[in-house]
Amino acid sequence: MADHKGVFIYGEISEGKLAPVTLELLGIGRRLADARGEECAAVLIDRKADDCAREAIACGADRVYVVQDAPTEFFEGASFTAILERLCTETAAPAILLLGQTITGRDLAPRLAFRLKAGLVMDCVGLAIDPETRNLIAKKPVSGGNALATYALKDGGPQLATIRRRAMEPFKGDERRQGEIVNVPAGVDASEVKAKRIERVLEESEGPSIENAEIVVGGGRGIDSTEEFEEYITKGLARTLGAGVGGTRGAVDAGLISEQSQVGLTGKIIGPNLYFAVALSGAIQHMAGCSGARNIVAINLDENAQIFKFARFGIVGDYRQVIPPLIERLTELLST
Amino acid sequence: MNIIACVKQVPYPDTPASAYGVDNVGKRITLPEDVPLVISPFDENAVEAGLQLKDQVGGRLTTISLATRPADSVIRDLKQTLAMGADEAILLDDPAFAGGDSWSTAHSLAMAIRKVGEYDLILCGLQAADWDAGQVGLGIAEILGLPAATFVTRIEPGDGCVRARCIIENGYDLLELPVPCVLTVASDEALTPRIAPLPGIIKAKKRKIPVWSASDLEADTAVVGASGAKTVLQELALPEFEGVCEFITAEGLDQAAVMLADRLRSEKIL
Ligand SMILES: Cc1cc2nc3c(=O)[nH]c(=O)nc-3n(C[C@H](O)[C@H](O)[C@H](O)COP(=O)(O)OP(=O)(O)OC[C@H]3O[C@@H](n4cnc5c(N)ncnc54)[C@H](O)[C@@H]3O)c2cc1C
Ligand SMILES: Nc1ncnc2c1ncn2[C@@H]1O[C@H](COP(=O)(O)O)[C@@H](O)[C@H]1O
Repeated sequence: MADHKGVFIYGEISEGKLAPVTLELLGIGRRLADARGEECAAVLIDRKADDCAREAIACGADRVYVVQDAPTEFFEGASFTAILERLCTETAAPAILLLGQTITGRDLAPRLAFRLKAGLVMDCVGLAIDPETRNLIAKKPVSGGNALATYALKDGGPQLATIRRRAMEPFKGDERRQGEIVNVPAGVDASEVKAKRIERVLEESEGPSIENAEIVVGGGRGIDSTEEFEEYITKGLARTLGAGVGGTRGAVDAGLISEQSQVGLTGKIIGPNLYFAVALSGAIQHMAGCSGARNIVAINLDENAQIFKFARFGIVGDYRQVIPPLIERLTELLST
Repeated sequence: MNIIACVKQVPYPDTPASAYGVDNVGKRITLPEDVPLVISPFDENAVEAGLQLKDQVGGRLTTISLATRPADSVIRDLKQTLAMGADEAILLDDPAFAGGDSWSTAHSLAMAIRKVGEYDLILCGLQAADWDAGQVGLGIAEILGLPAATFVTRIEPGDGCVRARCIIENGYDLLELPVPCVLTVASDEALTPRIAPLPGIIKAKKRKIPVWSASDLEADTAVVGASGAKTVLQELALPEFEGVCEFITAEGLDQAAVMLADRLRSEKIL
């Protein structure tokens, strides 16, 4: 442990800017580095990383490692693992390495932990430094969110964690912050790429993206058919409110919505001001994605449905009977 | 195609939140005795994916479980995979495995997979529904030095390769991986586990499940069970669900809906 020093965060870039999870990583990375009296460095592996390096410094990094020559343009697990392995063994020897609990982080963090022979806790909602051992203490929901577990990472090499979206505060940006930008060659060639991408299919969804929307309407398995989902949710309540459309895994498994619209433990983490939960039971794995929602309104046939434990307002009834008059009234209210 | 699916037994994941308790002395989650133990949902999807590939191109499906609960109940679930159509099932059971984390579990499973020997494809769940660790599948890939893909919802066989549909933030990637490789599977309409046919259930009942110990795996005791773990569970707690729901009731649902809209306005939520 003695020669491992500093905190690394693996940054992700989305639409030319640091992704929201990266700002949260910088926030917690900065706090952990300060607690250890060490540096916080960001790693950006992206052709366009140059543009974001300054932003990372303003948001808490002391140093940014920029890798612009990865063998693939988009994330690829095997080669990105090899790049980070080099960075964490040859370029530096971080004590702590943090990633986001994103599609990328879910793939990269375990590979890297096993490669570095390091301990890892995924999907953390709290991280701290043990003042005695200086090791990482990581808190995460388990059993879908029915319990919270706190783990201590053991000595001996770097310690890894991924963080849940919206669980940690970003650092207050400060343009005057000073830091160093270091360009590092990937040092990894195309032979390290193991998965060949044949095709990338992007889903077009109506309305705003659920992760950033102020209002989200979520539907569950209780909705009868794709036709009704469209009529009552997508083209109904959501369109009236200009809301994003999401749903449960129950809805995904029933073919009502695509995987990209799934909210929850294995889906998106949303943080709207208002979440309309329609014909969904409120399974803990679903609610894991709604922790950031400020107001939940539930419409469910079953008065004992668990969703009412999380909701601020509820109506017990059939969505087919509740939604049309609701839309009518909302339309009136929103036009005034 | 020779396929191995790793399956873990977990408490029924749709158990209501109120049933959960924690025991901070034993460092375990407590549940009433009548909560059933089942195969973790994504692992069932993995078994189903394996069976579909077998249906298409032939081959064998072997299921492996490292017991974290009493062996007889895990054997019951392994027999369920046989009843569904798996060809063989192996139980890893040894006090030496106790107290393991993702690191040590992946090592034990990787050594069991090595002992099975012939494989083209290893399937795991994306994450097991008890600790939601989400590490073991990729850990096995790293230990065995195999290519891997995560968040897979469809698999197609190819010539010396497989094609996997992998979920990304805003769509999916179709990836081609050489075999042998590891895929971690999530749920999908197309991977709804099949119901075991009655003759399969009867046949599976009579099967004897081989039980392998740590020494059968020639496992280094330093990497299995608690001694191999890199994390220590310190504390368990129950989350607090705050909030009191205000039920909006009226003569009819029409009226309730109008009142709800008005409340959202008066509370300045809309
Ligand atoms: C490891 C793991 C990860 C998971 N990840 C996720 C995740 O990320 N996201 C997720 O959502 N789930 C996830 N799940 C699944 C989760 O446990 C639940 O199974 C799922 O959320 C249930 O979906 P649902 O509420 O749509 O369906 P159900 O639980 O079947 O609920 C349907 C509801 O609709 C109501 N209803 C029926 N008809 C009507 C009507 N006409 N009008 C009004 N109400 C009606 C019923 O009363 C019922 O409450 C995960 C599970 C596991 C094990
Ligand atoms: N004890 C176990 N026995 C068999 N397979 C397991 C075990 N633990 C984990 N796995 C496999 O690894 C996947 C991911 O588990 P985890 O990393 O524990 O969330 C599971 O879905 C299983 O496929």
